[in-house]
Amino acid sequence: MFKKIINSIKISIWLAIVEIKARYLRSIIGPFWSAIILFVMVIVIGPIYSLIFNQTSDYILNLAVGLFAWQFILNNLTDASFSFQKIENLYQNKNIGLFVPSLKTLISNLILSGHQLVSMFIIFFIWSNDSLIKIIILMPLIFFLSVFVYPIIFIVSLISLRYRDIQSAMNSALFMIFFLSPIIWSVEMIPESKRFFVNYNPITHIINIFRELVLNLRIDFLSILIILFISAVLYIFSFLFYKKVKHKFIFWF
Amino acid sequence: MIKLDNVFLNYPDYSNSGRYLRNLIFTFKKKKIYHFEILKNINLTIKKGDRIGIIGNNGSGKTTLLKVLSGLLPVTSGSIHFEDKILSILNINSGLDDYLSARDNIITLNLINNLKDNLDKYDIEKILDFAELKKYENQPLKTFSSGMKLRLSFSVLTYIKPKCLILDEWLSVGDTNFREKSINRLNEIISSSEIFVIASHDNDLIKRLCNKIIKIENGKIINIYENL
Repeated sequence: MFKKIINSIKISIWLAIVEIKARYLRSIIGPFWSAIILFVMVIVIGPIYSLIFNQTSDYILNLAVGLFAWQFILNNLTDASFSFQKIENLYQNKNIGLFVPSLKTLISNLILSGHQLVSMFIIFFIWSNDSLIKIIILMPLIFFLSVFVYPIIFIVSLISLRYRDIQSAMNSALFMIFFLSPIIWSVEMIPESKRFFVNYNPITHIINIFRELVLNLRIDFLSILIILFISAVLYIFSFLFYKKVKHKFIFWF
Repeated sequence: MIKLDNVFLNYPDYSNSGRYLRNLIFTFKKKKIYHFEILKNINLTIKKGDRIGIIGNNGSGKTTLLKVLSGLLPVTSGSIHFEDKILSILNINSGLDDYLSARDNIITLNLINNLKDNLDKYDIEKILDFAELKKYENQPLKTFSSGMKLRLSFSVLTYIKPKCLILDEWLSVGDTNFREKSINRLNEIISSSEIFVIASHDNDLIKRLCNKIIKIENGKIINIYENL
């Protein structure tokens, strides 16, 4: 059993590396494109929206941290919806298990986020003082976020294998979640009496954890507890789902 | 040893409406998924030294039985017991990625088939040498001909001599020279493996390689010919 888990992790890491290699084949910048995209988004959206929302230069930092966390969630969930189909032909000689596609998705996006740290460093360097500390804090945070995101990737990848409608539904849902979450805006911009609606959104708490810790060096315990609780529920659900589908999924290809 | 007791396999048909979520939501009367009975009451013990040939018409269940023996498909009822690591080659193209180099594909195939724990540079060189693809090692597979891809895949999958080998049809790949090489290597593997199972339509080949023949019809074993 232990050997099987180690083997699944080894396969997932390798497949994540080669997927990124293949994705950026013949590209000079390679995975740093994801860093450039993030950087461009921040420097284009930042000044315009800070004017629209009448914000100070802190807005750009809030936006950068929010977008960094959101991009990780977005990329993982988008990739999750076709993660099995992408490596379908690996299942023709051997059953490599049902964890490999979701793990591979998570690892490849961790690699991309690692590259995005470069643009985050530049943004912090331009708009704040202690850019190195902020980057050091971002690293464990992205692993914390991985713990929350993994069961969702696992469930989405399997449901997408069974029902092909999920891929389109996921894109629309993520588009809506983006606007409903405090990524380009912050919770403080909403009147206090109306904030309850935002607080039901788990993404709000993730963004809060990131912004508070990275930008203010404060730990938002309430948001951490909420995310840990949701993660625990998701892991229990994933385990039950795993038990239900572990012998069925191979017929869904 | 591989042991199958009262094995049944019903293959669910998800190809039609069952695959769409909209049908699940908007169909008020839940539509049952149709199951094809592919294997019926299979009882089989494969012991050390067994060289088994599986014969039968198209659609009789040969490949499905191989998939069950490889652990690729779970059984609907009954039990299956494996003792050793099995190498199954049911699809020679499985695991190849056109956008990756020959070298990267070797590592992928080795990992997913769990062939060698620490595949090093020397192993990769040997695999490439056997496949006669040394000078193309960094080329993406999409620039390879189908014969070159088969040679690469064959060289990786047969690099390690497995204790149990399961083949769906005889593999002879490449041009005349390589075909001879591949047949020799396969013969070597078969003679060194403890268990060998092959499904084929070629009765002469099966008689030449196997000491036991299993005849399948409509998912049932209808005859076992032993001590050939």
